[in-house]
Amino acid sequence: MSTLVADVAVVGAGPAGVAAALAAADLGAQVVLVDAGQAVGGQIYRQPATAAAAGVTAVGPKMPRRLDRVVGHPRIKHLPGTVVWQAVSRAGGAGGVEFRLWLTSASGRTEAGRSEAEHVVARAVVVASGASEVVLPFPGWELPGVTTVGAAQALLKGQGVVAGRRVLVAGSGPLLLPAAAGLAEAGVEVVAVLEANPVTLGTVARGARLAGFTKKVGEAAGYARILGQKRVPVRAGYAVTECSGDGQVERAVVSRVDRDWRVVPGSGRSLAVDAVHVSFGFSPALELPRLLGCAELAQPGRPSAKVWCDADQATSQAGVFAAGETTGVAGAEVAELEGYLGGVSAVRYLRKTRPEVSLFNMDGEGLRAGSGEQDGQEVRAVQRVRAALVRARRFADGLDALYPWRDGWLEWARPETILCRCEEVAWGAIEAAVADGARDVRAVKGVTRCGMGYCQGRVCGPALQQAVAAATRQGLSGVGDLGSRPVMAPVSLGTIAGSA
Amino acid sequence: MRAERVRFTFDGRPLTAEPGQTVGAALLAAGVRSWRRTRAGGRPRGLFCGIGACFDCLVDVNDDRAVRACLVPVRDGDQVRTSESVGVDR
Repeated sequence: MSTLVADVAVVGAGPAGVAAALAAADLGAQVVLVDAGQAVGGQIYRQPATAAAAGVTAVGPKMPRRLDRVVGHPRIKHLPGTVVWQAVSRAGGAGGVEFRLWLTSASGRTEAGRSEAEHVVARAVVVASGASEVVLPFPGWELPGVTTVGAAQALLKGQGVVAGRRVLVAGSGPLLLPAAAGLAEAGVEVVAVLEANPVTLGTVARGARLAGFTKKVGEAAGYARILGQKRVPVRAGYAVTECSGDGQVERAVVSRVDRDWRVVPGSGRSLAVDAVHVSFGFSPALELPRLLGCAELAQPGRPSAKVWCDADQATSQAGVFAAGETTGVAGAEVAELEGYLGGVSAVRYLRKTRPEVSLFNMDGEGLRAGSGEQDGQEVRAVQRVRAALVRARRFADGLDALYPWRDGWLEWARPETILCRCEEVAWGAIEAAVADGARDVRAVKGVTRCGMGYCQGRVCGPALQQAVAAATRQGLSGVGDLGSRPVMAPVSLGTIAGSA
Repeated sequence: MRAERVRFTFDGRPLTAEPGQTVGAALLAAGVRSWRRTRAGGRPRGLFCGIGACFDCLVDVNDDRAVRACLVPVRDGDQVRTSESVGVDR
């Protein structure tokens, strides 16, 4: 059993994790960067894994060149295809804390070419594990051919493959437009882009222009140009409210929805499609911060909490820092900037808590009490990051406000509509559990098995919260959430036995 | 130069994939939409989240049962089978 020892363990290699790893390593720390993907970049900057994917016309933000340095950095050990399945902390002497992270293959396949290391032991952790895509249930959403928008993106950008030739892109949020533009550019017939909220490309562009975010105006204009050229209609106030087909999706019902996402009676229209890509935004991935005991903040009107952290990205747990979507979904720019801060803060924490201990394999400059000039450079760099972060967060908050989460979708479901895809728990069972007295999602889970399956409530959790909140006439905060349990990823009993 | 295609089978049927492709992408590219039946309703499932979070795309590959098709790269000679084993005693 092999153990990697590092100063800082960074979990997640999207923009936040890569930036955190670079900042900490540039300051002299030995960094282990654990990531489920085969290449760095995360979901937003997904890198092509095949020749066909490399030939796909890129639509949407590309990984900034400044992040490329993470590959081959002398102080960063990147573990691709790897996930953390368990994490504990313990006092490491002299006021410090030692973290132990258990690793396994991301795919679940044995000998999948990943690093053989089974643990990382580190004295600081940066959680940069991103967010989960939210999809709300509707009749037929479990049919093959109905996928998340993220899946369509991952297939196209990572694999050079499309899930259908005649598709709808639906849901809510800023991801719909670049995803649809990418598919259209790849030759897919995108029948329409359906945004449930009353938000058009024009709304986004106007808002960005007013706030002075010219780069974002250009991005939105680029998507509009592609969608216009390919004659893809973009409709605000519409949703896919039902899918049907024999063994796979063959038809989708497109309905007009009101401001609360309730179907306008009589507005439904059935269209022939071979794939439907749906997304209602993202919720922070809280499994790892929960295992580490990090405090959370509720997000009003949103189904998921976010990790609480201070202005230095420090969480409530000494030695644990968080950056990117786990601290609130705000996009790649905010994530990268938080990553730099988190990486610097992790190193400053190590300097402060363990000044007498030289960092593992430390080869230099940064972490030793630096010269006055170096300290000044570091302070100025941090000031620049903070200033950029204020600006980037302003745009992200403005964008977020355009895409509220409504509960009219509850009326799309029928008693037989599946809510929990893993355990095949139907909507009617949830209503029955509430009628029998269940008042929160944990109670409903206990009665129905909703959220108890393989995905551990990652998919149905947000919908279940909103469903129980509505059925019990409480606010989202009153019904709790599914929580998460130790063992963050499926592992064999042999792996657990071998880890003792 | 064109890279050799990877050869694999799905439920005994010979298929090929691009080097680097995942099992899920290779099956979709070959027109296969579904490779699992649910254990309660026996309903077909395929790729849903595409990034390893939802576990809908579970598939059996060689001796590994119930791995996520969206994450596992296909290798030459892989025997991929419809997964009916999830949660079922054998």
